[in-house]
Amino acid sequence: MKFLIDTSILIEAERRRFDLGDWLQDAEEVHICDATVAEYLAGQPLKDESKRKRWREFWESLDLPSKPLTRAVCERAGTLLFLARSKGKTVPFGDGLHAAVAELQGLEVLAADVEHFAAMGVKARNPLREAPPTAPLL
Amino acid sequence: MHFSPMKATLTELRRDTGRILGAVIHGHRAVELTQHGETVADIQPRAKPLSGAEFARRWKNRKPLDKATARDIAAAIKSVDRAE
Repeated sequence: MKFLIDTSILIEAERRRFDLGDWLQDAEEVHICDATVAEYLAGQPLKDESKRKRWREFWESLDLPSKPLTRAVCERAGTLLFLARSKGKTVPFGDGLHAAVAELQGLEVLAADVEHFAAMGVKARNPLREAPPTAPLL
Repeated sequence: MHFSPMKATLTELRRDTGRILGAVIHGHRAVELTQHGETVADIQPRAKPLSGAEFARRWKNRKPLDKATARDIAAAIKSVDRAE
């Protein structure tokens, strides 16, 4: 299985002391995308310097390669967000970008708000609620 | 933390190709190429896929967020999403 980790899962796993590494141990590929870079930057602590230090150290110590937000990704994101809107579901812009990257690259999203991705017709699961994927039998 | 692209002139690229491409390939940095002060091209690194085992290794060795910081970050990201 090939996964795209949504920002919400990176943070939520830390908040709940969930071993995301163990869950993903047998995955074929693991990715983040540039939407997560933007969201993580936007979420940096405002006033507390010690929290800002931990915020920065967490990111630098993980050092995850990121899928770019190309014009094709942005066009697909717009279409998927519109699709969700047409079903009466408002989805955060960042989730639309993650959904587009996942769909175009053949990845499954790992997210806390799985229903946002369902509204866009993109496969997603919440590792905090579901068992890890099993390696295919040879 | 390298969130912003590195800048290099076309002359610097010709003279110092190894260093600049090294930053892209090994440092995962985007490079903006300029000529006479104008940006004329971008060089983007292509992210190598990370295996689950490699992700697990990095996760195990990360500097973890404490619960309070993780909660603050989650709340801040949600507030950005909800902004009107």
